[in-house]
Amino acid sequence: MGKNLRLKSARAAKDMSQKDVADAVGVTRQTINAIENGSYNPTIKLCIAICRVLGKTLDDIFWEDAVGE
Amino acid sequence: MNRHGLDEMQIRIKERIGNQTFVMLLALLLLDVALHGYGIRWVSYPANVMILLTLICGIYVVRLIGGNAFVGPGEKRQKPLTTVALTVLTALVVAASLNILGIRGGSSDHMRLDSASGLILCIVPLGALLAALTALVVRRVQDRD
Repeated sequence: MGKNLRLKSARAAKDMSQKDVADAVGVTRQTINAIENGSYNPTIKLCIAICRVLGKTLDDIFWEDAVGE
Repeated sequence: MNRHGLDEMQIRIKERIGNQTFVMLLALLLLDVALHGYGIRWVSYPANVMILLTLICGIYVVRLIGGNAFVGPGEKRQKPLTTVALTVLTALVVAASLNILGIRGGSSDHMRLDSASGLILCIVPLGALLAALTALVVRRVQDRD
């Protein structure tokens, strides 16, 4: 699982830190960091919560179009 | 999301560490039985089991703290340094007192304590101290990231 750069860019676009997103979603900063680094595969519930906070859709942040994207 | 307990990644980490620790405990107990079978007694029963349990519990707690799976995201960050220090100090004093009682043998049978009890009671606060120090180091490292 590669890095989720779209999550990182969406977060940066809203000028939010990992801590801000984590507090808004209700998880630890380390969890957001692990998702961005691709070392943790979040549940759909957490994905939706993150998308709501960032104002994006699941496709925008978590959908992978091609292998190795 | 659940703001009062651990988050989903923390729960997964905790489960993984718990499983590994459980298997480690089983392996150590079996090793102890095997050593006993070969005639090697490193500590007499029940101190051997208590020491193994205490050791494994200490490893479990330290690994949980190291993996950031001990405290959930909703809980306020506290600095219970004084509380930890006082608890450890009290525990050490109790352990030392019991050691003295054990050496002198009490006035009645129920006051006589096994000498290993003092050792076990000394290990527990030292484990707590190690856990507290680990938490401190891990928190500083994580804050630096």
